[in-house]
Amino acid sequence: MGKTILTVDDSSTMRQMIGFTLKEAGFEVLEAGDGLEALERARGQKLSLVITDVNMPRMDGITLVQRLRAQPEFRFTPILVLTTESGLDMKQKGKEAGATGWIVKPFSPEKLLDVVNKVL
Amino acid sequence: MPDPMEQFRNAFFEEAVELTDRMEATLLAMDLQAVEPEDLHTLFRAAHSLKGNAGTFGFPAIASFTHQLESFLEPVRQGQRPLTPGLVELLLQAVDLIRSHLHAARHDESLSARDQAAQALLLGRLEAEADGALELPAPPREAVQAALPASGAGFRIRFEAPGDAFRRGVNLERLFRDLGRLGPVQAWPDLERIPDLDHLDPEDCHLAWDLHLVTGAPRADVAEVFEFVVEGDNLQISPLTPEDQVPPLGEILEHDEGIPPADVRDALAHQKHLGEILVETGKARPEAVARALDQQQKRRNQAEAATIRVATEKVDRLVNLVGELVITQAMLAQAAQTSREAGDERLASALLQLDRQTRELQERVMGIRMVPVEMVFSRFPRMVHELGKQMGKELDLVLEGQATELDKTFIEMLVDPMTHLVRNAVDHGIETREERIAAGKAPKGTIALRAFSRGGNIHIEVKDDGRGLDPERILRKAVERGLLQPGIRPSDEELFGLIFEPGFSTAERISDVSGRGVGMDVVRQNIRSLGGRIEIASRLGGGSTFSLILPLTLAILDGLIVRVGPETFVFPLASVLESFQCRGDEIHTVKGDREVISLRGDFIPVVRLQRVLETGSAEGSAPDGRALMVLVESEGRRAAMAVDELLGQQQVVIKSLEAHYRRVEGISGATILGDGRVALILDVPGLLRFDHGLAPATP
Repeated sequence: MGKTILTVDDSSTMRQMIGFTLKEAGFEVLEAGDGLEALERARGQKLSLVITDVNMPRMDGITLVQRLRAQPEFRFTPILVLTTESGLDMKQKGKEAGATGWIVKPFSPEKLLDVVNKVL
Repeated sequence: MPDPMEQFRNAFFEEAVELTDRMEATLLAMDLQAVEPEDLHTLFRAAHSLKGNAGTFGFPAIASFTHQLESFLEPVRQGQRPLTPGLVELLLQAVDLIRSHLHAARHDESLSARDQAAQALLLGRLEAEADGALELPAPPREAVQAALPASGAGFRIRFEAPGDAFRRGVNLERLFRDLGRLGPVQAWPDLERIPDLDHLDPEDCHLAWDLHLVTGAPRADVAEVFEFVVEGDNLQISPLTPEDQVPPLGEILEHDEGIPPADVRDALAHQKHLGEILVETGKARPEAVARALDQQQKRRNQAEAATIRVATEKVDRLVNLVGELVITQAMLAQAAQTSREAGDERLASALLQLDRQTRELQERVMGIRMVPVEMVFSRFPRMVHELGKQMGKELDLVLEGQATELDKTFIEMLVDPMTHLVRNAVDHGIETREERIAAGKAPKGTIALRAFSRGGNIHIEVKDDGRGLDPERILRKAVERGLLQPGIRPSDEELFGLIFEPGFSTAERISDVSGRGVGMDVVRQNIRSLGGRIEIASRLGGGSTFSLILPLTLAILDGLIVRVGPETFVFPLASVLESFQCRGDEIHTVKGDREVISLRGDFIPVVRLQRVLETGSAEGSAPDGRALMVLVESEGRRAAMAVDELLGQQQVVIKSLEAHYRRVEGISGATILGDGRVALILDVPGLLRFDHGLAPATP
């Protein structure tokens, strides 16, 4: 059985790029356009990894991380945040919310798989 | 009593490690798009200090390597050669090599063949860079690695997993898998950090490992493995040394000879103690051994009872808390004075008592951090001896006031500046025997180090009876260096102050000991960062005295509270000479826009704080042009600072701004006043530089 990854981003281009790369690498991929939708998609799923953007309408990525961590089934699930800033600030915020790591945008498909392999 | 020689060596190594760390941190933090000149100075100074210290303490290999680094850094510091990413990479390798040097020196060994090869290659590449070959095609790491024997390269890693690792979904096994991809890994788990079962939260991570990784990969690759789990200093990566890789005998027996591990452990547990061996071989009687063991235990207990070792951090927290308490106490006193209960005697006397107790508490807590100045002084007899020999000068060293106590932070930060001052005194101050005899002086020169406290300050003097500073020579040099406009003749004191400007050096030649124009600016910078100042007294032919004047502690200062425009500021009382009121017509304008005031026959520059600090104008400025002036002095310069109101004197607790804001010119910190308002503390030397014909000391 393949591993399932939930990708959350309000940009459909970004979702496609990430989805395509991960599917090529043999993962099952679920997609959501913002934090609220992500919470719905995650319900009842067994996720191996969540990759989420930070700035999104309705619910941002940091809040999503906090909400997922509050649910018993996602307490220890690896979560990566996509940050545009390479600055420490967003990394620190993500860490505090409970994120496992981060991917700095822009990134190549190889870089994405590198980081995914690091936490999976 | 520890061996003094050992003490010096330890001090040298401690400082060397600090300097190396500083070089590395600076290199890593540099933004190559916008290089800060101060960073370049820092790099250069670190190499310079390393060279000087290594030379002094008898590590010629380190001295020679750092000397070459320093020579290479000189044009970089002067801005004649740009700092490229390739160069930074080379310099980082140099830092690693210095560490290997230090490691070898600490164990009385010479540098390993591998590191020697790496050093030769590195210097070659640096020279190639110096000759103008800008971008060499081969990446530096590979170049160095290729020259090395295949085995032996690698890293020693200490990793303490962050406490929230599990809760953040970090999979620690992955770290080992990823490390394993770089090369063979050996790991020793450290279980010491795991609390007992009663206090164990299974979701907290308490794991730590010591690892050896044999790899040809660069350090950055290793660090990247830990990217998501680095926090503060929980990850240390240092080059693997050859002896790290020699396994213990038991391990070789297990692997190569097939001895079962359990037998090895068993044998280790049965290893005999010294006493047993002596008794069994008939060299000592059992009672003698028992008495000796008893005595040892007694001494151990005594040693433990006399002092307690406490983490500096705990003391610092205490100092901070007491600082807050002093503020609260001041607030309370102020509130009581203005309230209706002001006449209540019981309240008044209770407050008085609180005031006394707070002060005593503060003094006692500060006292914990105090150590005798002897800790700095004790390193100089040997240094002066060596320097004198090196330069063929006969010297006496006099130490006075060694019991004077200083804040521990000061002690650590005084080492550098005092070393520079003493070196300068030996190198430039004291004349040769012949010169001294010709000048009618005693043939032997004297250097005196004195420490004493006076008026709430600690004074530390470095005094020599040598040739003294020559104001005319400094003047010429200053004009040459563009530090002064030609035709201006400042006072001797002001001229002496110029020797602290970066890049200023009166030495004609470059000697092994001093004379590259670094040193004096380090001295001033270090002393300023301690809230202190330096005064120079010197007579041509009669010697020089450098006085380092330090506050008793870092955390608290006596302040003069003033209002400028709508804002409140604090002058450190130590730099205030007096305050006075003057009429508008007593202020004269010279050279177009510069204002001066005549005070008892002297013309003193006027600084309009409203303008300099951009506070906006005050609502209550005197209409008739009358002005309130605070006369301040620092480093022999004086100025009258125009303020709008004097609000009083108060002890204030200094809060550093730099943790939250970038450095602001003219401001040294902030404080909270008795009434709860925040006020900025003025940096008087900085303000004086602002408004002086001199170029600012730091760009």
